[in-house]
Amino acid sequence: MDFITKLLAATIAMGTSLTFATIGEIYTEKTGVLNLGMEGTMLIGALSAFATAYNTGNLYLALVVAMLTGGLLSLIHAFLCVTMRANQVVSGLAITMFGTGLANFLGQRLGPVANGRNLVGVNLATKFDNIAIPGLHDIPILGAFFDVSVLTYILYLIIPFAWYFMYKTKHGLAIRAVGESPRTAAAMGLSVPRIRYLYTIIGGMFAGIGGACLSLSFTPSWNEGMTGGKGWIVIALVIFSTWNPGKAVLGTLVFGGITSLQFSLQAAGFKMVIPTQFLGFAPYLITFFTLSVLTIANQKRKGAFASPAALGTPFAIDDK
Amino acid sequence: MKKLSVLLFLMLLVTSMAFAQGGKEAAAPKADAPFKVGVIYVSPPGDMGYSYMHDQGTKAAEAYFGNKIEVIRMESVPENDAAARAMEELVDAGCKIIFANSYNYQDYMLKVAKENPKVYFEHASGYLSNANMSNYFGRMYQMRYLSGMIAGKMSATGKLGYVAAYNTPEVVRGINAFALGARAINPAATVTVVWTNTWFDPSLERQGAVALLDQGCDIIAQHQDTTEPAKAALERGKYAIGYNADFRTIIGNDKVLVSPMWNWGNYMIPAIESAMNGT
Repeated sequence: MDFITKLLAATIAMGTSLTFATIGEIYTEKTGVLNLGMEGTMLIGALSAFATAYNTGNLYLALVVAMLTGGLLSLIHAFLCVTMRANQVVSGLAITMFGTGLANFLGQRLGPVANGRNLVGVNLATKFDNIAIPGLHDIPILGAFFDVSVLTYILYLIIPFAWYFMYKTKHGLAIRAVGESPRTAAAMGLSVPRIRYLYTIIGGMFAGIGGACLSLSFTPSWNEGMTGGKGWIVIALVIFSTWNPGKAVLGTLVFGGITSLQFSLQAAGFKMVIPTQFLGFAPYLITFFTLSVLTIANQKRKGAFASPAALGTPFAIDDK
Repeated sequence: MKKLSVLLFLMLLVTSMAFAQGGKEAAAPKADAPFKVGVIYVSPPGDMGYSYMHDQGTKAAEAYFGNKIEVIRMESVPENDAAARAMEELVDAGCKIIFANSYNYQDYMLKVAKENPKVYFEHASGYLSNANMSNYFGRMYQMRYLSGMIAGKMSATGKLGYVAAYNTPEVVRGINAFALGARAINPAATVTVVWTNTWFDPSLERQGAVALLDQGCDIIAQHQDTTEPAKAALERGKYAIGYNADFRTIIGNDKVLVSPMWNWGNYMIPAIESAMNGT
């Protein structure tokens, strides 16, 4: 019982970052824009949040800065993909390369003079600590959900809201219309470019928060490449959750859970049950599986779980 | 594309060399020209880990020799063909001794060493050598043994946790030495190892440490490049044992018991000295 509670606690702690970024990417992809720049955007978020928190001591300001920098980086992606109608895959990859490089560059320039301006190896005076809710955190297993950082509590509120906004509001309908059939959406009087810009930027803001979750709470530090490929796992998690922000947390629990489980088993003295190399590609293995299952499910349920039809396709009003 | 980037990289190298050259001519007048030392790091020296400690060694050499030597550093040099070119550039810049600090440099170094018999080459952590190329590394397992003794003494439960990177000889002998050290003090002590299969991933390193702490380990030792395993221990009020650099000064906490550290200056200074004397 205790073993499972601790396992769940470790999973939630790591998964918060992933879930934020996954919800952001779902919103972006729902409008028909694929953003492969998540890894770079999360790194920029992590770096800018850490630098702000270090230099001002204000964690909430750091969170806001991470949102802004994440949003700005995605603005570049939106400009290239929506206005310039460039190839979204190429642009997204470029965003990741650029974001990673820029974060490393700035990481060696925004630190204290005593450390040669380097942010690597310096510590924050404060971080987002876990807050236990009295009474609730003593419940076996489920108590793990009530001894988490402020960021995770915020996430608890965002998950149902993100689902509600997508499926129960007029705005959500507009997003889905733009992603499914931009021509119809435009005929209905919606501005396709405006909506795509908006949710690409919002998606980047979420990725920025996802990065900040790492550098301000989970692993409070700045290290070059500290996201360790989480931005790519996010892309897989979006598919796993069938583009439904309500389900984003499921993938996080599954993938985060497997990772935590293999450490817990090792620590409990078992011979390594799941090699870590396997875990490295497991998310993508499950992506293959999900895609196959989705195809079958969509044939039976008339496309209920399909990817946004216009995903990856640039749009211009005068296109045929 | 690849050709272009290689070309750009070369141009960058050449221009940076040119600047280094120009700067030196202005700074050093007619007196004895300084003995040039080239240093190649696998990561930025600001990593607070492996390359950082190598750079501390380089700085110790600079302080020791003063203006008798001039050091040219190359950071974050990839462990591929670019390393050979970096070494050739250092040779062209007039370096008489060249250090490189990572395992996969050794094949390239051997090649460049054979082509430049008048230059001394020093490689850390490998096994290849030549008449003008030597390989050096430290007996880190001795330090691991000592840190294991401390852990054995300080642990209340006798359960020691060790977050380890790869299952390679260097790492395994460290763990074994640590365990032997701990048992020398507390024969009942156990060492539980969690493998992360990465030198560097803050999240995974932390998760490994957390899993060990959850299992009741009250001391966390590590063979990893970030301070996250140690930090995870300290956050639970447990003891940590660092690696590479002095974690006490980085993390600023008394619960860091000890950090097995590299002091490369002790090797680099005599190596440079004997190269200067041509011995």
